Amino acid sequence: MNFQLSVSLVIAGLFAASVLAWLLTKLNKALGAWVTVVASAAALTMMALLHGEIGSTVNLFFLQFTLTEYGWFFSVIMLAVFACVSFFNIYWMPKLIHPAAYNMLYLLALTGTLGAFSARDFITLFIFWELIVWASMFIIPFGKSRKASVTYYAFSAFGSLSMLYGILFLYHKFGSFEISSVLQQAAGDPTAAIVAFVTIGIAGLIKLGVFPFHIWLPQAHGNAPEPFSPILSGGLVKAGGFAAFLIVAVMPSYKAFSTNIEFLGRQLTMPLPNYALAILGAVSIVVGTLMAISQNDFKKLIAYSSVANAGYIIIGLAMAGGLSTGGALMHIFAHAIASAAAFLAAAAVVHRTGTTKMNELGGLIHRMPLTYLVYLIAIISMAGIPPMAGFISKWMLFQSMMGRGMAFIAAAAFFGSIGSFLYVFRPLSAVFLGQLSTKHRYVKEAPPLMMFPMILLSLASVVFGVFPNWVLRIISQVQTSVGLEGLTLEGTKIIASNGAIDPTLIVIIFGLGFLIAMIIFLRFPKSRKVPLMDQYTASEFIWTPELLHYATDFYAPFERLYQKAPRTETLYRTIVHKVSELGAFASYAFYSFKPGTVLLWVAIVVVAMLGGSVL
Amino acid sequence: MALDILKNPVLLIAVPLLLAFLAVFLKKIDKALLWIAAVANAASAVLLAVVYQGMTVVELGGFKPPFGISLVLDEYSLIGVVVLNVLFALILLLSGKLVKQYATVLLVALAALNGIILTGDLFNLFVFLEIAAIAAYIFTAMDKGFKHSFNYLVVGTLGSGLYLFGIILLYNIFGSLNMFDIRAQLQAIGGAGAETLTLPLVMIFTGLSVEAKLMPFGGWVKGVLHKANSLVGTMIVSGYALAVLLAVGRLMDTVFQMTDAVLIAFTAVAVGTLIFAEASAFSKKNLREILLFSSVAQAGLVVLLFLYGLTVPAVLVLVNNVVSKFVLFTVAGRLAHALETDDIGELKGVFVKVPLVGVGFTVAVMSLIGLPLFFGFVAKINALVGLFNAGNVWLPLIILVMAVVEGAYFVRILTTLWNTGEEGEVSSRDNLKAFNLDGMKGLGVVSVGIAIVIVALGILPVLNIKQFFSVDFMTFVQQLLGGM
Repeated sequence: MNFQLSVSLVIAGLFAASVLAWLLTKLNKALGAWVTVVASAAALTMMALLHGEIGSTVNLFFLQFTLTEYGWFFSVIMLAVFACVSFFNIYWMPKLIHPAAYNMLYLLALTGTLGAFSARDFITLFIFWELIVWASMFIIPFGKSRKASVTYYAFSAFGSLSMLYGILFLYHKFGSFEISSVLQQAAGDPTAAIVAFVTIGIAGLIKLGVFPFHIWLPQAHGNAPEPFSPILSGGLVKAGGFAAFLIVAVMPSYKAFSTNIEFLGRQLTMPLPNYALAILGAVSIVVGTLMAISQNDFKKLIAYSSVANAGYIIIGLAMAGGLSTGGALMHIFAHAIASAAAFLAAAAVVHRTGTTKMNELGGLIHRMPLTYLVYLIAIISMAGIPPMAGFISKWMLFQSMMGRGMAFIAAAAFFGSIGSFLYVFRPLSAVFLGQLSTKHRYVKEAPPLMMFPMILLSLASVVFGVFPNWVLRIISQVQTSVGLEGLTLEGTKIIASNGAIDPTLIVIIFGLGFLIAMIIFLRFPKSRKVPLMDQYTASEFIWTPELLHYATDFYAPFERLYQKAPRTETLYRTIVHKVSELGAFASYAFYSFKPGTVLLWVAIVVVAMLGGSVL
Repeated sequence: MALDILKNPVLLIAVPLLLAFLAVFLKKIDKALLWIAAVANAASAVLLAVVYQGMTVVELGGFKPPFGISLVLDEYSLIGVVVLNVLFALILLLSGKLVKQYATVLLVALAALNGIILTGDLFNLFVFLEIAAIAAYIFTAMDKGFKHSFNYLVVGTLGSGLYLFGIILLYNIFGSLNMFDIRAQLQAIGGAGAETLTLPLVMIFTGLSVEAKLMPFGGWVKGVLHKANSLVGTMIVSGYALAVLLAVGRLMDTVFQMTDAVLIAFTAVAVGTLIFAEASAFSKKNLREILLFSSVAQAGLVVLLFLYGLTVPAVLVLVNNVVSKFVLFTVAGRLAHALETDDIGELKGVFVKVPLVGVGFTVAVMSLIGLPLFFGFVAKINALVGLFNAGNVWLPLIILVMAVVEGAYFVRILTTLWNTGEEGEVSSRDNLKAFNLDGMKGLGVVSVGIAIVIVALGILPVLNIKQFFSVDFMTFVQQLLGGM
């Protein structure tokens, strides 16, 4: 066997590691969890070293892999998230119902993503894509909801089977499964292009969690076992970004579809299908933001924020320009890190307190200051505030939206940014600020092995916010490798059509401002503390003080504005009911315990088939 | 010389039939005779597969076809025979005490099912169908299912009658009852006159659809299978489904010359079956009901593939379905027997107690819904590629949409059976119900064994492009004409 470092070696190694993890967990749970840590870290190192192998093709049985720039980029992000999160597996072993299966499926999900990102032909891509789905669909029900997994599978299957239809349609047309060549050929053929765009696009949208396919995200991410939520939100949804990247940049859609379209007397700047994607992204931002604001469970809240961020990513990808794609890819990176860190902080809180309900927590900053800091940095990045990495990507996206003159989509994006201040602040103030509940008086800080990955991720958010060009140079390479224009970077500056920013300078000024504010704070008198749960209402005893906790219905006046609005969930629930009703009807009408019914149906159908031609 | 006798496919029918007659007289050892027949058949089938060199035609009674009855052993029937006999032996192994006094009937059923797969003569097929059906009417009445067996009897008799009517018309038109002879005659006349075949084909299709469980003809299935034990369930869903659908495929390949209208009508029935049965399975909460509707839907899919001439993918899908359903129905039947219920809500977390069984069940389900790295994926890809190559772009769409529905209800089953707790509670071993599940070790071992086979077939690319059909048609025609 050839042991040269290659993608197939990493994938084969991960397959072996997953089986090993299962076996070792049966012997000793902690040991099995350590296998996942070591395996993901090793895979990350190997993938980093494989940057030089970009372009070569390797085989594993009948599967074919080739590492592209964009595949490498996505793989490294995914591996970084998996490696950091794997430390938490060690602590969750006693809490899980099937620890051995969890460890095995964890590594299988990782294998799936790596295989999908380095696939050379569509069949390999599909096989590993489905591997991701079935590995994670077994893990999600280990948490709080079994229905969430069914919803997750139904949506994911709809996406992947839609992609399969597209793959087979293209195979029938062009006789090949090889990704880059088939997509380029499809760009030249209008029917093939639209089929490829729609089918693969649907798969990408569903996996990313863009409206109208977003409802599985809060259910799955919110209810999955705590160490797996960051994987789902920070890692696996990015596979959707990968699929969208394929159709938008690799195909590419601006070559496949006409850009010479007039609408209301103005020239459109993008092909119509790309516009459709951008509009869906814009709606996603608005829906995600509004739903996040009204959440009471902070995992669901972060999940809805993932929906909103998926909107940003898809808008950036749809615009398919140099700066916009760069912004989207940077956003994928920044959001993966920030969302993983936020969910990990949530997991640390759950590990120590046992709950995720915001109105039962409070004041944890006193007991878990480092976790607070991790969470703070993560949400600052998600909201797009300097000096974190999330700001850079949002700036790039805003620049490109304004540069293209897409005012309404930009309005939605700005709304999302402002709304994100609202929803990121709520969990912070409800969980960490405020007053410490008496039952959490002796809660300890998260254990060191948990702190290690959380600190790593926070450092990444900060460092790549201050020196983003380290990542942007790689992203620029990714873009030029698929034929898009690269980014204009000078030293620490990023240059766009409307201006330039120098993040390092911004951070320095920001730091100065922070210093001034700190001095002012220290000089002025302190506020007076009032006990939080010590409420009174005209001498009546309060049985449910948590309803009067300030974290409950935090944004009630704002929420009332859209409380009565229709929810997408209702639509899907109706569809499910209708299918059930159809089935119940068929079962009643055709399947009876009396012979007469069947005989009647036989007679009717036979007469119908003969159609009067013979009789 | 002895080996030559053992290589004769007639033994697959003759041995069980002979032992069945003996069992009537030697009632005390009827179960032993059943075991001997099952093992002998399985071994014989495997032997036939090992020494297979090309199509074999066995003339019964020395009469050359088309004057006499012939048994045809080509790759198509070879797969059927191997899978059927091995599955029958495994069904028997796992049902143990359930056989009770039905050993004779099961022997007759075994003989008849082999006959259905092997025969090359239309009327012989009718005879074997009737024998198999009668055996089924009797053993489905096990566990006091009298009303449902009666329903099955009435409907099944109608079906056989329609089939008989159809072949009478065919005999009238072609003067022959041999399937391959009719095919030769049809090829000789080109494609003309397909309209005259409309009535006989509709009769034959309807008649077989009753037994093959297509909608709306298969209305007997719910009654017979919804409370069936693991022996009856697997016999109908695996054994009978395999034999009857292979017969349907054989007929569609040889005798069916359809006009466009007839093809559309049959497609409508098959697609209707697929859609309605998947929806029905989706709406149910009892494990056996879900599985029986899933079988109906898969039967619809297989018939659809046969209709469009995609024989190889259809056989792959059929074998995948039959093997998976064997595991699933056995587990469902045994769980229902042990726990007095097959409502999924009552079975929360049952696989935590019997993990081997759970793994086998899970792998069988994943193969059934066609997830990659399992055999079902290979079958599904072949089927879809075949449909696209046949120029059809809407059928794959329908199949894939129904695959989402199918996946949804199977994943519902899997996640419920592996985890505990209500919605909103973390799944944990603390709130596991106390299930009384003893004696499932054997089932566990067999299911895991089959799971390993499924995974191996899914990973090794052996079956990806293999051409199953190398029937040398001209050679057979020459053999055929020798009888004239």
